Amino acid sequence: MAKLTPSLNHSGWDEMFSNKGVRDSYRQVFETLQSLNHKTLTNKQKQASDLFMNQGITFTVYSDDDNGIERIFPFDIIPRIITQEDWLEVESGIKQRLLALNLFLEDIYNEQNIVKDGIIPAGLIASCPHYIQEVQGIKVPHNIHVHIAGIDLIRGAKGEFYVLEDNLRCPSGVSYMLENREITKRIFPDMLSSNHVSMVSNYPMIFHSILVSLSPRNVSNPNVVLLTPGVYNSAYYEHTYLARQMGIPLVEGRDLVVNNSKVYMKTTSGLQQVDVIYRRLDDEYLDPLVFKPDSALGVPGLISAYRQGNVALVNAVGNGVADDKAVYAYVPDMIKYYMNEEPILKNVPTYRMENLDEREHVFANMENMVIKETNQSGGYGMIMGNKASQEEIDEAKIAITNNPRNFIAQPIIQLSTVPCLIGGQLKLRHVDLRPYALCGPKGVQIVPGGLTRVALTEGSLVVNSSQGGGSKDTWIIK
Amino acid sequence: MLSRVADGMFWLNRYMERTDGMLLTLNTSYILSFDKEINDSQGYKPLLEYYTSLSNAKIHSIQYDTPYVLKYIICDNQNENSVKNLVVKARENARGSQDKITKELWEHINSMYHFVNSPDLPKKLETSDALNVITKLNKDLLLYNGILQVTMPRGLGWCFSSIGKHIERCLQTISMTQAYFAPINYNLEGEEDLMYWRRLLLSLSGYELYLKSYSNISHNRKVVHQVIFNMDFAHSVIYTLDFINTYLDCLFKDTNLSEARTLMNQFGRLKSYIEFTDYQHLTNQELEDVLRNTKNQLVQFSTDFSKLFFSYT
Amino acid sequence: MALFKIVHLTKYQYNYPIKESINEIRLFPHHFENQEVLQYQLLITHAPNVDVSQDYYGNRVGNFNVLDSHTEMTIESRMLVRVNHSLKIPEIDSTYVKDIQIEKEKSILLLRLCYIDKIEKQTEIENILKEINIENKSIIEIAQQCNTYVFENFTYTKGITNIETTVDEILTLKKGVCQDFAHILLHLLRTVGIPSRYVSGYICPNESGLRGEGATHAWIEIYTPTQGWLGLDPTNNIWTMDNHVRLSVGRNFSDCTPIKGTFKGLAKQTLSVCVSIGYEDGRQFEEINDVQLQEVSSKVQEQLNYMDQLQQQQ
Repeated sequence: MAKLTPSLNHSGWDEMFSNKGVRDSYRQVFETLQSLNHKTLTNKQKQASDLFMNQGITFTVYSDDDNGIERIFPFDIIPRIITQEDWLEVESGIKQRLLALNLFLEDIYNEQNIVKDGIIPAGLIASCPHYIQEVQGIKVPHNIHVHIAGIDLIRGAKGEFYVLEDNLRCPSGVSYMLENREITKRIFPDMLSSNHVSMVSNYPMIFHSILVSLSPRNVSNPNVVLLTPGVYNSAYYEHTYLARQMGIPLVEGRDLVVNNSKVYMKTTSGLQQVDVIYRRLDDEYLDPLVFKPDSALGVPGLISAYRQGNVALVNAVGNGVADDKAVYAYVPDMIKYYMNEEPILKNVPTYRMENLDEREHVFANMENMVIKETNQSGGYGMIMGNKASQEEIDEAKIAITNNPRNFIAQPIIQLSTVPCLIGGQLKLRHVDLRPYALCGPKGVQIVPGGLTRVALTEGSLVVNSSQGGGSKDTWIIK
Repeated sequence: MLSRVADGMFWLNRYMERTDGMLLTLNTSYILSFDKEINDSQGYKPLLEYYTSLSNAKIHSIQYDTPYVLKYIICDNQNENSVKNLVVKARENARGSQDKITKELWEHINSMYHFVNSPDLPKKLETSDALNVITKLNKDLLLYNGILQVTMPRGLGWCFSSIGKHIERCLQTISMTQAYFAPINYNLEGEEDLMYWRRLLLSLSGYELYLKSYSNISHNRKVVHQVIFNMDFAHSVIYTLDFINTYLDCLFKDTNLSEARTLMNQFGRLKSYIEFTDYQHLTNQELEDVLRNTKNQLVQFSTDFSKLFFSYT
Repeated sequence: MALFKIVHLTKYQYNYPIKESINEIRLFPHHFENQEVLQYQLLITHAPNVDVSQDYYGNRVGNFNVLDSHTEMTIESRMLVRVNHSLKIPEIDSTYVKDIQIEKEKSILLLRLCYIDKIEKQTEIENILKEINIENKSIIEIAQQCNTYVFENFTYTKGITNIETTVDEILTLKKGVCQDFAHILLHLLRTVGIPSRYVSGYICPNESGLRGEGATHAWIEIYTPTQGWLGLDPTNNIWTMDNHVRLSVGRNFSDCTPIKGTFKGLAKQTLSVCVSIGYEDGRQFEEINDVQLQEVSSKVQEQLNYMDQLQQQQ
């Protein structure tokens, strides 16, 4: 199938093709793809979509129609491959970063030495909306604040890795990492084993054993639950998937009640104490007594139980102060300050808009910059300087000037590309990578793999599912 | 088990059983509408009276209007008990209790959901495809029950599922029986023919069993025996109550709650009322009373049962 | 030095039984500098356990719950407090706002006590500061003059504002109660860059004639590097004295809310608060308030209805 080689008309790094042809890591996959005709490939793509649909791996798009429409998160059948060598760098880099971020959170919510020593300006923390003063001084089990992190990585023009952002609150998408692999097993059963692809399916087991190890009660079988905002949440499928894979109850706020600063779940045979809560509910909804008073999703008194050490929350409360996009710029300094090490993974250069010189530099080079709101995620509140209209750019400048703390700017990085099957042909599309790192009392573990998100629109650098992104199975090959 | 999840499984099965019964009744009337019976005085009336909240006048005006009834029962958004809305509600409950439901059962409910929501379904019902749609839906419900039996673990969730399902089934049997006895003033000595009773028996999946079990004259009293007192008939009132009883015992065996005892006694009285009714000497008035009282008591029981186990809000 | 015996009684009543009442209280007077709690007793109906902890500002917080259904809850807080106040007006020292800068840059807490909420009438605030002419004045002078400004330009009027009244609204009304006075003064001082905090407590008027004669009171404190936290009472245009008993401190009223709670059940709630203060000489002062509760917001009502519906599938 000759058509399979796409034209390499961009300046960035393509992960399948170098200018000498197909890279070694992709050779087998490329040959398999070439041996299949157009119709077979399209059928496989359709088969994959149907599998997602039938399993209810969907999110609901609400419109005027009362029931809403269910959509799948588009899946591209061509895997994204990362060599063992590259992976080792990613793995050690993320481990280092996560250790530093945990030390930072422990410090910020206790002694605040990094501020007192002048490494990070107090104003940066004080003005962060996700710095939660209500949890100041609360002791968390084993001093671990981030138990699960989704660190977003991108590859630059030479294939080098950068950390794009840290997700330390409720990172989502891990069910797609796992389901994508299951789908690949069904549509390309032989390719996986012949390529020696590392296993990801033990993720729920690793995570479960970490959750159990956090139990404040010294009992052999602590009660671990997953707290979901409910069936209308767009990630509800993931919540059910993880609860099922770990064999833990999936609870909503109304299933829980606090009695004498202990948390209980309401069962058909009365109240049962809960020890560990993997919560997929944002901080501000957790406890209406402490945060948003009108939140019906949370559990009144939960923070009091947490403060007394009677229940562990995963992730800990207040982690948003460490994945704030302006604080991000200081992560390399944290690594040096807390660990006395050089950062293994690079940060994308980040301009703080509060600094007048940096702001002027950004304003003068808007067409090469991406502007991000510091406390937004999911691709919202983002302006790409090379795509935006003059009007949008002017508006952005005004918004930045009015509230500089709320924005950062970064030079636009040409993300690497991987070919996707689009309209029966291979087309290069930009991707990122979110490995999932787990942190327990025994250290950091990262299953070899992750979620590769792909910007399906030609030329787009925005991979978020809310902005028309899709995903790929991600292979780490030995 | 979480109260909310128990609640979800209970209602999932009530909704699915309701859908099943309703489709069976619809199917029966639909097939029979092909051969125009001379004395078909009711048409879709029993179906519409029990399963919808339409006014008497409206029912009167559409009780023979097959195209309208098909659409209204299967996919009308306005009808809160349409197959479409029931499946949506069932799926909502299944989603809420998804971690206690097998993947197989969930995927099946999900595929039914996508089928009843497919945009071309109303069009299909206007064509000769309608029969295929109804047949498919009937089969889907059979498959649902099969998957439920084969894949779901026994235990608490199973108890709540079974109790929900059989409360719904018992209410259906009573209501359908009322729908066919009320027009003849509960006359047990009447001479309604098999053509008349066939509709009721088919709606309850009991026609063949009836033919095999009873001699074929003076049907009225025998039909009562079959639908209320026959322990071998899976839709009879006594069978469904006995089934509920079994699972209540299961639920209560580890409980010392005094409310549990009260509820058990309440159910015991309800069941004994049927058990100790002498159907051979049953009068017309007694039949009417038995049906009405049992229905009311069962509705009350369902409410009290929910209060005891599902009060999580 | 003064000794006060304070009884603070809060009573909630519900027209239908409610359950799962979960509460957080800030009713324990602090061992602040110059203030000593000699006796303390907390009585709550149904005698629940109260877990006590410390919040960010050092206030003692109590958490308790009553799960069983009930129609009434009273919380009675009784205390004997001694206030040892120097009774001196703070020295007018020559510390300027710029002198706190270095300390602020190392302290998240002080910085947060300088942040102002975004309001529409910020220019009005700036104009007031211009009028006062804060240039080249020490922290103490600025604070005292802002205090006087609020006292002279706002009218003490009960019943037109509530706990949710915003600074913008108060600026328009030019009226309010102690809490509103405190919020305006905080906004002025924070705009200048002086770390300031809200104080809720009791005022025990030895000689009548103090405004805000109600026993529960609110005022503010400013931070100075040389003299620490100093209290200013804009309702009475004074530096605080030995008749101000401090209960809790925070950024604003909501950090200091004496009682916060949630419950389950569809019922209308009524609340009354009674505070009485006994003096050493046996005099007794009492304040009783039937608090007008906010109507349940339509959004909350909708949720309640929704929950109710969920319960009643059919």
